Amino acid sequence: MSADHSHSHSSSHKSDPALRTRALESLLVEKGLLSSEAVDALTQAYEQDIGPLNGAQVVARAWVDPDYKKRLLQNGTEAIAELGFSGREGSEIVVLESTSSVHNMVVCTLCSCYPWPVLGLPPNWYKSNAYRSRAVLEPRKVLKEFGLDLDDSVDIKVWDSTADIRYMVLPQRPEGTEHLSEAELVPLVTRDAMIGVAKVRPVGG
Amino acid sequence: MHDLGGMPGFGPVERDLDEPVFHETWEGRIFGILQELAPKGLLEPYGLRAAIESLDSPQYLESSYYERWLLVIEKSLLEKGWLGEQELRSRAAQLRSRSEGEPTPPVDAGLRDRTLHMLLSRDSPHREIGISPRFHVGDTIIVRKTRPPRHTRLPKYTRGKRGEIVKYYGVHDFHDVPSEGRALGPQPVYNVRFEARELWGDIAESNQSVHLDMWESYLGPA
Repeated sequence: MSADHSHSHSSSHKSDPALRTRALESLLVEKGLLSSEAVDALTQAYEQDIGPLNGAQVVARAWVDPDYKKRLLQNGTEAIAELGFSGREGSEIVVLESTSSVHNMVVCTLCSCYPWPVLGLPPNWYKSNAYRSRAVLEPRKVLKEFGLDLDDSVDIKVWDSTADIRYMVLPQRPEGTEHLSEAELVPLVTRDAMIGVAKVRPVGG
Repeated sequence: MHDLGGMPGFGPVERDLDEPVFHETWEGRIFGILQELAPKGLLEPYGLRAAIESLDSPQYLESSYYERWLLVIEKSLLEKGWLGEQELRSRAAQLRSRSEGEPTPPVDAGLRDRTLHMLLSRDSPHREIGISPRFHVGDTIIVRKTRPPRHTRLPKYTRGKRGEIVKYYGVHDFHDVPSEGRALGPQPVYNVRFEARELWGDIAESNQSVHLDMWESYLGPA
């Protein structure tokens, strides 16, 4: 396909994206090609219902239940589905266990692949040119910028999501949390820890 | 331009520490519109990624993430004749003077449940086809240096590099679009580990490896 098609839009491509979006939505609705309510439901699903709280519940369960953890590392998709999370952009999810000697980090250098069922939609920085280019090239440096300074002896594994498998990190359970219940552990687990750019902080730490 | 892995020159990763899911209302609308129209064939035959990759380099680099989606949605709507250029322009002109209106209220519970049900419904990338994998866990492979197709999931930074098969995922659909000829069908997919030194040479950080998921046609024996 030639590049000619882009020229007819180059005059508009810098103009107001909000206006262009409103224009195309209103025309599509008029022509019966789109329901605005369906669009509302989709945005609200990812704003409210499908987000990192899902993944935090998976992690907390794995921390308190060794059998669940085993199933999770063996077959992430099925174990995650046990908690009710599944579907779009998560048809196959592999869970990567980080330890004190191995640190896992996830990226999609080619676009923005991300495990929606457990983490929702990716943050802007995950989709940025800087993260996509540098996560595979100099992860230690990137992690340091994120506030995580790993010893040189720690093995860093960067997972580039190039196919249909989606990745989620099972971060280490922090010290001093042995007395906490599963429900109390959930709020400690951050999205960044499940992408692998942070560790889970201990309580009060 | 989209194949950014290992590309030098990008500075610190800029982050908002507490960002909303959609930074602007229009981004949420574009997201929802795509989710609604993709199953109706808007981005056929090659899908969203191939369409975004076909944006020219300045457009790609100068556009934000959802601006790229907006560009390909507009292009596809016009190319497929679902909307006309003139009517888009007139509608935009009409709406320019009107305010955006109230934020949308929460949808009713029934629609919310049906939407979640749809989003949660499971699919599998596996294809039950009797293809034997050529490679096995532990094998050393070299990434083939073939002519880049029109759309591929093989990042350039791995071309010609030596790696180790660490996992076999089974047979999955293959999404690459060749520059000519027919697309290949489903193939075995492997997780392949590359040492950082193999990928980046002397500038590689210590104790680092990169894992990628690769279709069999990307790989050759060492």
